Amino acid sequence: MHLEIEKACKSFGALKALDGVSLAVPRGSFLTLLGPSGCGKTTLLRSIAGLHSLDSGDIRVDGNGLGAGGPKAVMVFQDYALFPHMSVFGNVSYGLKLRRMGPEAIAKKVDDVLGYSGIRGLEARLPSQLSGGQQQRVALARALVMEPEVLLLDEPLSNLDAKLRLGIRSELKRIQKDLGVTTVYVTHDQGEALALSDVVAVMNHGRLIQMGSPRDIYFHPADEFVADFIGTANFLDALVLEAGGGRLTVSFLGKPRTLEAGQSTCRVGESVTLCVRPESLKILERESPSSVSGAVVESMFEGNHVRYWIDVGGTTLIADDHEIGREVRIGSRVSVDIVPDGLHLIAKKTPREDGSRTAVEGTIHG
Amino acid sequence: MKKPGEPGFLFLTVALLGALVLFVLYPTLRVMAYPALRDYRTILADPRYSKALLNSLVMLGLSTVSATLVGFVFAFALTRRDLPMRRFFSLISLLPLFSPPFVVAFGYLMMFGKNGLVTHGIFGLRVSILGWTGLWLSQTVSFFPVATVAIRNILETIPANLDHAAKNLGASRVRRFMTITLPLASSGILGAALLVAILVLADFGNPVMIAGDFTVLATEAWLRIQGWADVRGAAVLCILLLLPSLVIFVFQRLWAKNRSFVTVGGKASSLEPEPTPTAGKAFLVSFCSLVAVLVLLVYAALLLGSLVNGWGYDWTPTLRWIRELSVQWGELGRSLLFSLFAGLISAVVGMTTAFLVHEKKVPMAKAVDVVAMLPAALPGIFIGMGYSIAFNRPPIDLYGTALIIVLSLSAWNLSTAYQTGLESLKQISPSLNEAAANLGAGTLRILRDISLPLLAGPFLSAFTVGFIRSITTLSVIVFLATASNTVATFTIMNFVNDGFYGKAAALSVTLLAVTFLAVGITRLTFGKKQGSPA
Repeated sequence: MHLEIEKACKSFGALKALDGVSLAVPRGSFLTLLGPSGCGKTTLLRSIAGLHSLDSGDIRVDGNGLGAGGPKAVMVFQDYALFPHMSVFGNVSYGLKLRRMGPEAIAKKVDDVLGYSGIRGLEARLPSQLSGGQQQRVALARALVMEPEVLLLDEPLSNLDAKLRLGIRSELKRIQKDLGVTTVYVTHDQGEALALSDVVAVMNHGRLIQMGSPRDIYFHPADEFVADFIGTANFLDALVLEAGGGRLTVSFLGKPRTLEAGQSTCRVGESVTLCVRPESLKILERESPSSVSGAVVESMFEGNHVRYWIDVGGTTLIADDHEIGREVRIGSRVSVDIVPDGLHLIAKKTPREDGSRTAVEGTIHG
Repeated sequence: MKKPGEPGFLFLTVALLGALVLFVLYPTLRVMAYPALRDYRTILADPRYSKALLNSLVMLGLSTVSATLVGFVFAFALTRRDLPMRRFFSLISLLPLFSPPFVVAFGYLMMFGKNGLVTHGIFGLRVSILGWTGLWLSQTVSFFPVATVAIRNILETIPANLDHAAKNLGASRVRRFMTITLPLASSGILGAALLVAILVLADFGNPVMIAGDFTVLATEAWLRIQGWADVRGAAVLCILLLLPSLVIFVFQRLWAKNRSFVTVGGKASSLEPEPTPTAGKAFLVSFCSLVAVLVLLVYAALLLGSLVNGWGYDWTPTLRWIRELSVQWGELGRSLLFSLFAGLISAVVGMTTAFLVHEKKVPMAKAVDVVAMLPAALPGIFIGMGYSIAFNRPPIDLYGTALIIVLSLSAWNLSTAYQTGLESLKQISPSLNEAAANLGAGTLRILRDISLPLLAGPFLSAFTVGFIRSITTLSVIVFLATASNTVATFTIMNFVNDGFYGKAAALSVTLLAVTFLAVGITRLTFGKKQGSPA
């Protein structure tokens, strides 16, 4: 493994910012630390950057500790931290000068990095004379020119407007893949995390909650927090009707459903929590044997889909309908079915009195 | 970020801490420790000094209130963009800041004294402004600009759209002023009043020229040494002066910290402020014009005084005083040189201290902060006293040297530079330093490459303020000036006290010109280099 973090702990006063985080990724990975503010993701990033030291635990790159022998992990700051009194060239060449590299070698390296960052020609400008997107690129170039072992990005896109963000996002991905540099990316934007990463590490309260590929995280969230934080999810309590052979049959709003049991060891009669993504719910014009029926209580047109809130026997389901040609009116009755493999078990639950839960909308934003 | 084994940095820290202790703390403590309990008893029992104490407190009340009030009206006028003659009034409110405070008193003495141009020359009266009334007027005119600057800053942070919102809700003009502007500005007004109060309390130049028999603590301390060579008694008076000053200063600092609610909603308003009603304009213009006349009278008196033969009895024009200035080139040169050095030293030391404190790179940052801020609370006369006690005999004997003046002025201006540095550092994003550290820069390297270049502008303004305060001060140097190191302000005071108005006026005008010229040249030479970066 290229970057390894072992039992990282860091407290600020009474606050445990990092509470024993361990993870490891191979060379060239794009790792995203994802979580709500205060979850410890930035603390971890800054620890890798050497901006503060861990109380205990270890951070290793290629098996070596950080520190002596120049920076191995170079960071791109959220506010870019461009030196306002230095030109673009001055900013990008700053770290090389600290390494006492010769002026010709510096000029060549800076020119290279400005080239593939798409900002060649701006060398003499001051940061204040650049657009937000250009500042972003300079900040990235200043880090990349150091040829870091690990590139650290602290919410680098959060200061850009939505359109620019998408453009820079794909460019960032391209540059990262071209250079093959191990990258740690901090964000609270789950869309970014899913789109960019090879590996996503979801954090909360200073702990690592789940780590996996974007698909894993999205479709097999380890718990309600992860499911809720990434995208929108319907959570439902269900009773296990049958178990065995790696599969479970549960009662989903009164209808039996079969799903993968995974590693869980559920027994018949137990209550479990299930998770269904809104896009995994289909709205049918006609009832089918497996569908449930309910009334539309609210709808919202969101461009490429329409989101419906449907009351099914006291439980509200959120369903995204991509057939936007049709419009289902509020109050009308519809049938709802789940696409194959759309239902996931997220945790074993102790049985509860009411037995039904309303769906919760997670943070979803651009 | 903190790297062990940066010897340059360690040396700097030790040198700085040593300098702070030796040149700020030590003289202060020497004054405090100088008098014995017996000396307090002697001084306090003397009705002369209880009267001076009372007078000081009376003037503190009177002049603080009047200067703050005038300052507020001026600030309010200057923030009305549609007011006629706004630029002129702005200039007027800056003028006294560039002048030695005592020239105001001197100017009024020439205009309204027993032989005053207005009182005697025009109206043929034999009255004099000498005494507490003259002092009151002089202090008001000398110190209202300080209040204006402080209050103007506050008023400008009140977004115009608050006023529009209140109007939209149906509030009348008067009501808006009473319920929006005043409450939002009130903390700033009190803050400004506290700043003024410290200046009034410490004022030496005005009372020594115009107060006559109405003595205050600062002048009594001076007389005590001049007349009786009683250093212990003078020290007691200085301490009596320091105590209220310290209280006000601490209160002011706490107050400045807690005025944050004014800046709620930092988004700059793009709305144009309401036009000022005609009656309001008329009031503001006439009020400001009156003050402007009072300010201009001072400078008119100085100019005229330097050009007539005998102020008050012989108005024939003459260039005699100007020609005789050549005798004073020494004082003028020293004033300029000492102040340039003092401005430079205070700016360098103050800003470096600010850097170390801000970066928490220095042990006992809190204590260092207190020491660096201490001179702001010390009346000039106290600092002068401290230096004359601490450095007048071995082991450190600087009696009569240029160094003792330069060092005392540097110490006196340290806080201003320190505070400027701290404020500016707070505005520099911490991630800049982190970025440099992340790229491999050590503490000194960060200071050199990042902090210092970004502080160039604030450094220049700290230097300028230090220079102006140094070249115009009288209180700091009265105890330190000897024949070999005397400066222009000291000579002017002696001329005025001996009745040589022509000489005093000519020297004052020249000193003003030198000040303006030096500030102008500094701005033109170095002012352009910064400013381009955001």
